[in-house]
Amino acid sequence: MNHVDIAREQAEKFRAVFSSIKNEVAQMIVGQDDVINGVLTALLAGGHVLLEGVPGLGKTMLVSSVSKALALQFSRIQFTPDMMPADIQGTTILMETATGGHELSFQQGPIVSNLVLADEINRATPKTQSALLEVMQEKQLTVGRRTIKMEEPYCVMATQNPVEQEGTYPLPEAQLDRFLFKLVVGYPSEQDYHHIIDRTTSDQKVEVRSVSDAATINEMRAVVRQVPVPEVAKTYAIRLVMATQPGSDYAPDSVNQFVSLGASPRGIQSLMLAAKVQALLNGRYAVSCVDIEAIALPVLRHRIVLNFRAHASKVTADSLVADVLAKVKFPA
Amino acid sequence: MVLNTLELTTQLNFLVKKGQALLLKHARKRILKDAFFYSVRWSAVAPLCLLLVVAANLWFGRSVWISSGTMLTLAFGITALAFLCRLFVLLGRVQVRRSSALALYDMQLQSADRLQAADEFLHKPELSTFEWAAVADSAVLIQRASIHHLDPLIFAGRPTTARQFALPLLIAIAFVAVTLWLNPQNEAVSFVELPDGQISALSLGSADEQHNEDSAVKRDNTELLTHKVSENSLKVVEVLSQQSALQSESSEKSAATAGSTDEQRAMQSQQQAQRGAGASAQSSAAVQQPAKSKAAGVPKSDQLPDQEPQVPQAQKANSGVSNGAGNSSGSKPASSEKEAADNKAESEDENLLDQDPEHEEDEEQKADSAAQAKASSRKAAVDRRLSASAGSKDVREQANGRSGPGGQKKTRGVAAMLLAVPMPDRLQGTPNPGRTKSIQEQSRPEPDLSGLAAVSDRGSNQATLGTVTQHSDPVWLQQVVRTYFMAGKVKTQAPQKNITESEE
Repeated sequence: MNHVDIAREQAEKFRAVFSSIKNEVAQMIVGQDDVINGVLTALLAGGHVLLEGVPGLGKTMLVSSVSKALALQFSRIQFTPDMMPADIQGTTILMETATGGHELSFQQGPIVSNLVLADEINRATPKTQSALLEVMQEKQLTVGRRTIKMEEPYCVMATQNPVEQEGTYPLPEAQLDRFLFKLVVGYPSEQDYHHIIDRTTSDQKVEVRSVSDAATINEMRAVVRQVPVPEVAKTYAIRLVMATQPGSDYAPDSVNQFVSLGASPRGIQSLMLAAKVQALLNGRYAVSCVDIEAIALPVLRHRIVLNFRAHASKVTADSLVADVLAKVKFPA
Repeated sequence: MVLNTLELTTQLNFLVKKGQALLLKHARKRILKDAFFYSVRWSAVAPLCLLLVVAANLWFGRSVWISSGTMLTLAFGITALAFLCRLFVLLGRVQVRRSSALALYDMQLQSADRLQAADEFLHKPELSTFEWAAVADSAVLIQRASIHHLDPLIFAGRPTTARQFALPLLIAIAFVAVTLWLNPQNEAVSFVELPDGQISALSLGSADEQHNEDSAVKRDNTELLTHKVSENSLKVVEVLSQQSALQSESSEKSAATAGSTDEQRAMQSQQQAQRGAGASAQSSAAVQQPAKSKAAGVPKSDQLPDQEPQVPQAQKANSGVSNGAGNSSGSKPASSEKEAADNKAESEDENLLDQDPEHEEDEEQKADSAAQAKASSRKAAVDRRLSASAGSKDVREQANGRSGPGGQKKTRGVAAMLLAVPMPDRLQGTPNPGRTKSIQEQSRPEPDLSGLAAVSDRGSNQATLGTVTQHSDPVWLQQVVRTYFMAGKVKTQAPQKNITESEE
């Protein structure tokens, strides 16, 4: 078997795994194909996902379905305003030993898992939100003198409600930047409502089977990293990221006017990893500008920090990313 | 699957050549356009420089003599030079990369950068499995591209806007204006410095004549010049009086004429030139008349005697084009071909009717000069008739209810019927601006620019205040205050004293 056949087999397997997981999740989540694709892309690219949508759209169910389909260790953290970092990281408690004595023992928090659902993440205080910073970037947790390495695959999937802003704490930029994708969950279509009614209010039970496991996911992640990126795609990605930074050569006027902070180098890493997954899903063996363009919006939208003028003018990050995509052409 | 990388590389090279050729072709078009607009800017240099030269000459009182041919040659030479320089510089910079040529195929075949990626990977020393797969994936597309005919590109340059043409248009207008001004065929107004330092405006037939006359002025002595000027001014006065008398005759003659000959045209041009010279002499005489009364020996410039023999030469040189029919003001040069043609037609008509050409030419000349002199001061008669029906045709045309052309409209309608309330139809004043509309614009919030004041900038509370002046009250006020407080003190001390005494 030569190099070409090996690569083709790996790519075929990747697409097969992806579609099987997607089909299982789609049994529970009707419609929302883009969101499911986004969640799985982020998972296979090794990133974290922030799901934003109004209540009742199935965000939490989507994440739990993914965990079931992947047979990963899953934990859910319901973020509340009175939650403390120790509640999610774990703490040392006094335990009674078998001999009747007592000793201090570390109890891991729910953050130590494969797939973590941080539900309503913006309801916790910034202090508690910051407890996720290390684990999301370094894939490790430090509590006291104890450092715990997370098992791969590790993925944090957070949800937030964009409408109930009373008593919420907007995520700090440092934490937002750690999410590979920010996916906006929208309302389903009319046809999807029919399916939702039939599946959820009748006596038929829909169960998600495990179609993959942690090892397969790690293998797929390795395949993703093998996808080469030609210079033209690199140039395009770099220009896209630079175009989100006000004052750069590629920034459109709207960015200069309404953006206070643009995407960081972490943004281009996310852009490349997601584009690699996209290239494999599109049957290509190298990243193209088309792949980068396809995933630019969910990668860049939460990395753009708007200024006061943007809020006053009701300019959104999505419209600015659209401006960037319109301004930056494919390099030739 | 075995890949023939050599063949793929050869095919890619072929595609690169084709793509580069097409891109170069379009790049050259773009460069031509760019060089053109660049050179247009430089076309303004020559007229501007020559304007500066002319201005400097005028400032120092020297005569102007710059041929339009020189200016045209300079302008076009500089423009062409700028165009060629820009062209060669830009052509030297043009470089079409391999990736650009292959991107052209990727774009037209919609192959999602596969050709560029394959070309890049094939130039690597070692390829990974996925790079091999990418090359193999693009092999089919390379085959397709080799037989693909590249579509002609749409010119991707910036669209030509009206703004781009604004500068060339302005330059062209300035160029034409300067050319007309400096054209030696036209009447050129220049300033000749007189020996006593006076600067006199002279209206000349041509720049050549002016040049000759300048030399003549320097050559002749001042007394002779003064004598000639006085003679010419007298001649002009006589001519003007005769022209006013013959005004009615000339108008009748011009109405009933037909046909012409070349000799008559030349003679008419000669007449106009004489008129111009006479008028210019008149203007110079008018300027110098007060000076003459004060001091008879003051030098004066005289153009008429020198010009008279030069006029036929100028006519020959200009092949019949009218030479500087300068009037007294000098603001209406009759040098254009159209006016010359009109003048020719008039002269032809006149010559057909008259038997004695020289005599009639003098009369025509006088009549025309008088008519031109009166034309500026003539005003249309006030027509106060409101009716447009009565009278002849001429009357009906002027009976428009206005008191002459451009005047205020006469009162009409309801306003005219109101008794003792004179109300004109049109009131003088500013028109009503109409409904006003206010637009509230968003203001950009700006941070407070005033920085915090440093503590060190503030004055210390413990520092010395310096001399504090104390105003002393007047003596009587001091006395009153003292009395008041002393009285109060006595009152407060008296009861205490009583208490002490009782205790004792």
